[in-house]
Amino acid sequence: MQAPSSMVDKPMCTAQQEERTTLPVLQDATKPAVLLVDDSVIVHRLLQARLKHEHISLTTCLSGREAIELAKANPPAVILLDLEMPGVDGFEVLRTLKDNPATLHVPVIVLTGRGGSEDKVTAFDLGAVDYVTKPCDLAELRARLRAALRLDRLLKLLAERAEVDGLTGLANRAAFNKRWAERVAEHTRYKTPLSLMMVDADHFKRINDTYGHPAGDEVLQQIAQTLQQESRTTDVVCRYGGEEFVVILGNTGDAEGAIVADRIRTTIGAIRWARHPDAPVTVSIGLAGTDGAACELTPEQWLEVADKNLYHAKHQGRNRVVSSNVGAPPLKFAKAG
Amino acid sequence: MPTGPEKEPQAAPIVSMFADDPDMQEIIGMFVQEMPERVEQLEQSWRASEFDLVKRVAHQLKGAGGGYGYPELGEVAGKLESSLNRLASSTQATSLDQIRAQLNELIDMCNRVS
Repeated sequence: MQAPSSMVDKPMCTAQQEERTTLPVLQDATKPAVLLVDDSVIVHRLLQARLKHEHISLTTCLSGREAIELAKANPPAVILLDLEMPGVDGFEVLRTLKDNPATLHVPVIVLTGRGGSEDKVTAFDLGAVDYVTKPCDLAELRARLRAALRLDRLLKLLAERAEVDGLTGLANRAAFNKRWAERVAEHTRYKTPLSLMMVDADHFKRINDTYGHPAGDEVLQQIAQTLQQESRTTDVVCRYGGEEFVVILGNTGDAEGAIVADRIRTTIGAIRWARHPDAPVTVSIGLAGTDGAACELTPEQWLEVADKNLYHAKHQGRNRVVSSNVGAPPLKFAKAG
Repeated sequence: MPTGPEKEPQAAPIVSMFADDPDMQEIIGMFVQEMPERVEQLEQSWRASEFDLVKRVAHQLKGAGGGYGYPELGEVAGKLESSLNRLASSTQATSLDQIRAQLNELIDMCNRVS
C-alpha cells in the first residue's frame, strides 16, 4: 500500500503525495486562515492535531515556492514558517512575502529547529514577528499564534480606519464613498462644477498573466502616481478596487474634465515599463460631470453614469475617454478623446 | 497498533508520553507505522553516503520527536544532526565510526517506538 521510502519528504515530494500523507483539513471561511509551511509531513500532522481546538483554519504546504503562491493568491492571517527547506528556504520566502504589497503585512512566525542567535536576527530583520524553536512547548506556540492573530486583526483595523489602499497609498473605496457623498452634497447646495472620472487599465489581467503579479502591481502603482500628478490638490484620487480608479475633479465641469481625462490617458499610454518595455498599458476612462447646472442624481447614480461611460469606452475599443453631462437637462452621451 | 517487522523481541518498547491523548492517538499511530520506512531510508542513505538525506531525517525527528511524545528520540536525532553538520563544515575529523554509532542508537530507538 505504502510507497517505499517516501516517508521522509524528499524534494521530489508531490502534491499527490501530500494528499496521501496529510490529514484532511476542513476549510472554514469564518475562521482566520493560518498557513503552515514545512517540508515535513510529520510536522503538518502534529500541528493539525495540536491546533485542532484553536479558532483557526489551518492550511499546510511543503515547499517555499508553494507557500509564496498560496500566500499571494489568498493572504492568510498568519504564516508559520520553517527555515530549512530544500529549494526556496524560509528566509527566501520571508524576503519574497515582504517584497509584495499583498503579503507585506501578514505576520510570520518562524518555526524552526535552528536556535542560533544569528538566524533569529536575520529572521526578525527580514520582517518575522516571532521566532519559535522546535521542539517547542505547545501551550507556548498556541499563545504566540494567538498574539500574531491579534496583531493581524489590529493591522487590518488600522488599514480600514486609515482609509488607505495598501498597494498604491491612495484613498481606498470606503474613503471615496465618504468624500464623494460630501462633494455631491456641496455641489447640490452651491451649484459648483463637479466631475467624476472612472479609470480602468485595459487588459490588466493579461499583464498579470503574462508578466506576473509584480509587473501588475507596478502598473497599478504607476497609474496611481500618474493620476495624482495630473490632478490638483483639491481633487481626490482613489483606488476603487482591482485595476479601477476614481478621481473626483472639484470645480471642474464635464468638458474641462474630459480634457484632463484625455491628458491622463495619453500620459499613461506613453509610459515605458521596465518589466515589459514592448507592452504599453492603456486606460479607458468614463466621466460624468456638470459645469454648475444642478445635477439631481444621488452620489450612487452619478457614479453609475461614470461607470456606464467607462463601459462604453471599453466597448468602443478601449484606450479612450467617454464623458457625459449630468447637469439638467437630463443625460446625453458625448464622446471626447 | 501494528508492530514493525524488524523489531527486536528483547528491546523495550518506547511509549509516547501522549499515548492517552485522544487528539494524538491517530497521528502517533501513523508516526509509528511509518518508522520501518524511515529506518530503511536512514540505512539506504548512509550506505550511499548521502549524508544530507540522513541529516534531513534526523532533523525532522529532532523537530517532531518531542512533539509526538518521544523527547529522547528527538535528542538522539539532534545529536546525530549536529555531528553530521560538523562533518560537513569542518576538516577536523569527526569520525564516521562515531557517527555510525549515533545512527545506530537512533535506529535502535526508532525500532522501539510504539
